[in-house]
Amino acid sequence: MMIMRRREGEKILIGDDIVIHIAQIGRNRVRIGIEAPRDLVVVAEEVRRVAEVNNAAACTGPEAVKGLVERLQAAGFREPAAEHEGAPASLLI
Amino acid sequence: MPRAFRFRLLLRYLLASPCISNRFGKLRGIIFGEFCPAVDTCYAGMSIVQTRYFGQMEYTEDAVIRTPLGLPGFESETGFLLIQLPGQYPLVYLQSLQSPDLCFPALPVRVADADYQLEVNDEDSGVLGVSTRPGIGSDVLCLALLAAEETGTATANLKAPLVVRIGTRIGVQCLNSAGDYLCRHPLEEGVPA
Repeated sequence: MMIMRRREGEKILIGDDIVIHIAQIGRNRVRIGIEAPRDLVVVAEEVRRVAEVNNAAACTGPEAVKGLVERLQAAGFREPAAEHEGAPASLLI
Repeated sequence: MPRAFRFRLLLRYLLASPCISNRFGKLRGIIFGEFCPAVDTCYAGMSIVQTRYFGQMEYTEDAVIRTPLGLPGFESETGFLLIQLPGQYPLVYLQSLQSPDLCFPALPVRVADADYQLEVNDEDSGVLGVSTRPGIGSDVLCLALLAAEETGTATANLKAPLVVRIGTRIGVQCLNSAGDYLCRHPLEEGVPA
């Protein structure tokens, strides 16, 4: 990995059409401006990771979590008495 | 956290239900701040959505969670219904209004971790209109999406919960900066068995 030292307001060029702009340096975070072609996906690393987990969640159906629900209910998570139709919520909270 | 208190937190959002029905009978959806007593007394102006697992469902606009930023990987999904099925408490489903095939199972974060703490960044708190440390159960509803792993167990995404402001029903999937939470939190450890 290449390491460069930059000050606030300075820039880094990657190739011909990507510009990294060090916009602001705070105490424990930096603001970075990125100019890149529109078709290039620029995303924070953890957002990409969340997207992967979201994709896995989208493939998870009721069957896959059935055992989990049974375990939770056995552990004491029971439906609240709210199932009385028409009971005002305020009475039950 | 004592169990009674934990239930109170859950009750706060599970009790207030909007009118949602489907052709199999009644399903309960969840709405915050308002209460609609029964499906039969629902107003006109209901919309219909094709759901992934529950057939067609009717819903009113005040049951919709708006996610203006979408979710990572699902950026164009800006509307969800929160569905709770009888007998499946405390599990909830997030059904997309844009894509019938998209439905996430989820749990309130404090079911997975009773001491869960939430801190969101400035941008997310701005979109939500809450402070960076909103109260779970009082200011926001905080849901962890569940994913089935290849091993057959389920994990909860405690690193990036869907945070929904109670009242406006605006939702953002926030990266939680409080604590070292995992995207794939194994539920075996967090759940008292």
